[in-house]
Amino acid sequence: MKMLTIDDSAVVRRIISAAVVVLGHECLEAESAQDALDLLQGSEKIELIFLDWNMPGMNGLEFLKKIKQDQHFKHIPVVMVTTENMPESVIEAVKAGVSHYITKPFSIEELMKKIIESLGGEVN
Amino acid sequence: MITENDMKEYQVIPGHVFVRALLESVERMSGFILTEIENDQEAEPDNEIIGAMVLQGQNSMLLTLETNKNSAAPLVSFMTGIATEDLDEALLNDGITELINMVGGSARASLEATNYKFFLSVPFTLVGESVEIVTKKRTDSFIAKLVCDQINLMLRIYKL
Repeated sequence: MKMLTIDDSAVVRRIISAAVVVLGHECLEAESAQDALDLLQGSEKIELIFLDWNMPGMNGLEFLKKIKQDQHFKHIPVVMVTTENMPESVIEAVKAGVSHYITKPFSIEELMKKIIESLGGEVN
Repeated sequence: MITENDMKEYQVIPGHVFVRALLESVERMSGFILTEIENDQEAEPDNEIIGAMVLQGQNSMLLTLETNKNSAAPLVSFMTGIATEDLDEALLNDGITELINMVGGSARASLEATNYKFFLSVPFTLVGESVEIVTKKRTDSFIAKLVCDQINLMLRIYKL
């Protein structure tokens, strides 16, 4: 399964990619929302997206609203991975269509649990 | 002893909130458990990386995390799973910047109900040999030094 992590921090992209690979999947990386849109509009078939909120240029919420209005991409589940931890932010993101929400800092175990849950698996 | 009233009236910098956020961020992201030690200015290492962000609000502050490459390397290595010898400067700087971003985000939630309620700027990094921030003498600041093995971190908060 191919996944995509979008974050302006190379360290965060690396952490998420490593967890995805450990779980047996492939992870592409984009350092901006615009790069991610270009990737999606290319030939890549992405099945799960990890999305940072605060990024230069188009922010994560704007990106989310954009893809949820697009017939080709609106079915892709999106996991928001962000320092935005205020309740109103979580509600806004859920209303815009995120399927899961992870606040930074997170442990690798928490991240893996969310990935499994996002793919419809059960975590004991 | 800092009281809730002190914090509401902005009598003190709520440094303990940021220290707690840093301890938690480092432990969750890297597994290292930092210990706060008494600040000894003689023993301060030369800074090579300063992660910083402005906390903008009624009572604005500048939040910084100061360290050197020898401290940043094990931290970022355990965060990412990349061996220390394979980490370049860009990743070290990014790791420290991301940590200060997490500290700011966590502290923001804790301080939401006080007069320290703030918005976060984009985090940024100052790098160089013996890099430092110089402020006017009367600028109030909070300093906490945190260590774990060879890791030395200095958390500073300047009242703006």
